[in-house]
Amino acid sequence: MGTVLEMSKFMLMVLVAASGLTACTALQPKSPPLSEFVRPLSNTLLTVGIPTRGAEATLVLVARNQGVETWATGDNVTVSMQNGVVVATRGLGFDVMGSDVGPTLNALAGRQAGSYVVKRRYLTPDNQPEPVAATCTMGRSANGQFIEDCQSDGVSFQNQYALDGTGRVASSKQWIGPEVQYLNTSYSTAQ
Amino acid sequence: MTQRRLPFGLVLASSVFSLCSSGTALAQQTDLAWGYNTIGVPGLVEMPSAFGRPDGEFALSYSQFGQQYRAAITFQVSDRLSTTFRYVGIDGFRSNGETVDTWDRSFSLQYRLLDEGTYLPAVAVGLNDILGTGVLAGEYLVASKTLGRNIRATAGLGWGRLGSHGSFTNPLSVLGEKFETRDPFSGLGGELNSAQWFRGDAAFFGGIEWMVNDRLRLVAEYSSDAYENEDDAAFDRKSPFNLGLSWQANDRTRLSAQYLYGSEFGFQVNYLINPKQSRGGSGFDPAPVPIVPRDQVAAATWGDVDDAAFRTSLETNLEREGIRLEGFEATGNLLTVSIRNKGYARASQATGRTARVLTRLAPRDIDRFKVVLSENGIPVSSILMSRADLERLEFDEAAPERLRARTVIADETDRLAFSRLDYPVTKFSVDPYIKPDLFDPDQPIRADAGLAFSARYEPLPGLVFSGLVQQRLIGNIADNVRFGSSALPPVRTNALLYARASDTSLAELTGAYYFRPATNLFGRVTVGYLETMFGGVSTEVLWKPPASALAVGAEVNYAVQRDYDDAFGFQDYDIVTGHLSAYYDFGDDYQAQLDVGRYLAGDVGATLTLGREFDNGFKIAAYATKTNVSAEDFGEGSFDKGILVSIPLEWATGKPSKTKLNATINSINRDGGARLGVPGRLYGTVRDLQATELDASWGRFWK
Repeated sequence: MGTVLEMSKFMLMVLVAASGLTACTALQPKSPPLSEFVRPLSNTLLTVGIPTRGAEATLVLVARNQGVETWATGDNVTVSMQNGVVVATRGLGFDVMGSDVGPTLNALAGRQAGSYVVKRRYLTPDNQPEPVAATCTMGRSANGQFIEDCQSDGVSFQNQYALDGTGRVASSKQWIGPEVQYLNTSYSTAQ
Repeated sequence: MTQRRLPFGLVLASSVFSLCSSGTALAQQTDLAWGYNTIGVPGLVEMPSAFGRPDGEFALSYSQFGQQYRAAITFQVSDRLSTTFRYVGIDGFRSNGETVDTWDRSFSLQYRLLDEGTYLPAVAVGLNDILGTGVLAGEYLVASKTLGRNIRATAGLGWGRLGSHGSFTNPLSVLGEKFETRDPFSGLGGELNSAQWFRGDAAFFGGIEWMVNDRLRLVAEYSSDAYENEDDAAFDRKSPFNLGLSWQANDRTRLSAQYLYGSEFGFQVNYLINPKQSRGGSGFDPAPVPIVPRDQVAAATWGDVDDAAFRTSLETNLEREGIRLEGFEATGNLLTVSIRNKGYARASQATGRTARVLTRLAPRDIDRFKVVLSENGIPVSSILMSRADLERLEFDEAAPERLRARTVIADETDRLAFSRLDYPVTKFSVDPYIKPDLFDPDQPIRADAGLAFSARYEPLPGLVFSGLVQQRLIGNIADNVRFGSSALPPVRTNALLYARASDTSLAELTGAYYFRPATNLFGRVTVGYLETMFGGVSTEVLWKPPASALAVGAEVNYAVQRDYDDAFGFQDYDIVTGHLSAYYDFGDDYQAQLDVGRYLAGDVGATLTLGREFDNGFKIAAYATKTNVSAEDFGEGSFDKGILVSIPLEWATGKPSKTKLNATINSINRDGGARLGVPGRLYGTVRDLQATELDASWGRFWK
């Protein structure tokens, strides 16, 4: 019947078509980087590392709204933070779409004791908002860092925050989600 | 922390591939079938089990043993209902006293009646080969129970093929004597064989499954299929026992090896896709421009704004987001912007990105934005939002619900005065294409592949000229020598003559006018070479209120058959064809469409399409057409039926795109129930821009 031969011929044609498709997709114009499209609001730089992806980038400040700062990489990933605590990301694939980090900020300021709930929203691949609540407690490590232990849907994670003299997060390690896992953040000043 | 500096985008793209082999989500789920059987039904090795697969799963299967080749597509239509379409080749099948090599299409259903309880098993009923020739016809009632964490037992009662080994008198004969007998295999296809269901002798089957770990599964079963028509012809059936081993290679691929009937080794490959899951999560879309609060915007009022500069700025900003500006207008404190979504599978995302751009550019005295979504130059819907809400909710944990509660989505019929400024629109593109030709018994898979050159010119809003030329580079469709003879005018059976005439074909050259006759109404007139085989005039009117589950359309066409070899010439055959269509959205992704009318060969009848479209645009549908042509006159298959699959490129790559990959799997094209191909039919484009669809994907507004 030559079934196997036919199958392989067919697969070959599918591959030809698919490789053509990739070539065409690659030719599409890319979005100009946000970091160039929008004038930076400050000469402070944010360094963000994603250990699970072996990636690190320097971000510039592109927006301020409702006390949240949005920082952008040169390739259109943004991280939005309130006093250094991550409230949203874009361009990571498994983005945090929005959060209420009020309880974490209160705990960092010493205004929140015991356990508290941090609410976040993700987006499913079929476009449904996916609210996720984490129950957290804040503690201090020996070197003075704030350690936030959280539980959410059977997943445990630990955020770390080092504050500067003004009470703002200067560097941190923060959980984004099961796929991206942790972001490391720290600030520097443009040369 | 690593000091390696790589561009984020590069790493993200490669992480999609690394995810492919990640071990997450492989663990067996307690209420789901652990695998598919050789005919693509959730089950053991050859026998079915009572559990279903994850809701929405779409599985491609291929299995081979004992001179039998089986390809199947299975769709878990709902939590309880699983459907399978398959194509089976058998080298050595006894039919009417002869041993032949045969190819056969068939269709199965399985429905779970009871969920598994603490003590009670899951119970399902199933029907194999309900529309085909009956080569695989068999019915069953099956129960499965999980014993401990990793072991499952299955026992069932089968009829037909599944009641052919170790059989006994049908227990259903207590209901009537007719259940004792079943007609032998007849070989006629395409009719529902319901009169034979659950009749004739019955037999028991069963088996045990053991999940050794997250990836490895072992199965042993007792098969009640005697292979009466294949034994000693295709293979030697020595024993009813089968053994299987399956290995979950990654999140989508499963490989199996089997030892069957005491004589044959077999293998099986399953490729599992869940439209609700994507390897790119919600997508690697480039970040949108952030919202700018009003107090940071330079211009206080329109008096401070230069119209031309504003327009340029708006165009540039929207272009970055993959959106085309069609017009804008400020009235009082309301700014209306008309756009065309060029870049996203879902219009909700284009709307959100437009709103973000407006917060950056609109003078401070503007406090409401209205985004008008348009397609083919005609407005469809408007989304009215408050600027303060956008500022307040940008990072809110419940932003979609909170914004939607204060947003008005309405029908929009007015073109903005400004809109003519951005015309004419021109667009050229070159894309690869692949055209399969399936199920010819001489050679079940043929295909052509090549390049499609398309051009589009819109001189005014609503007026669209477009052309499509296909250049075949490789393919074997023209090798087909089976000319279908037909009792009807040869409107489709002569497709081969077009394929043979030339490697270059003018697939489409049309002028179309799209318009809004009234609120909730949409209109279209198309003139020209509508498809490869017909040209003429096509007119359509659609009634579709923005939040209505029901839509009604009417289409009337005058079509003339095109020449085989002259790109611009026509033949003598012409016909007035058209349909009344009703579209209904049942909610939860399920849809139906009923078209009633006159088809290309002059036959009269109806097409019913049932489908499921996920909120990311991934769509799977099946259709059947029955007209006043008898099964004998129709020819092979008795009536036209098929499966449609539409996959958004965005779902597959994780990058924003409006492109969809469409595939139709249907019977050999016959002349009965053939519908004229018309580019730009209204329902799909209109519905995508209306409240029903915007709401279904509203979470993407903020992406």
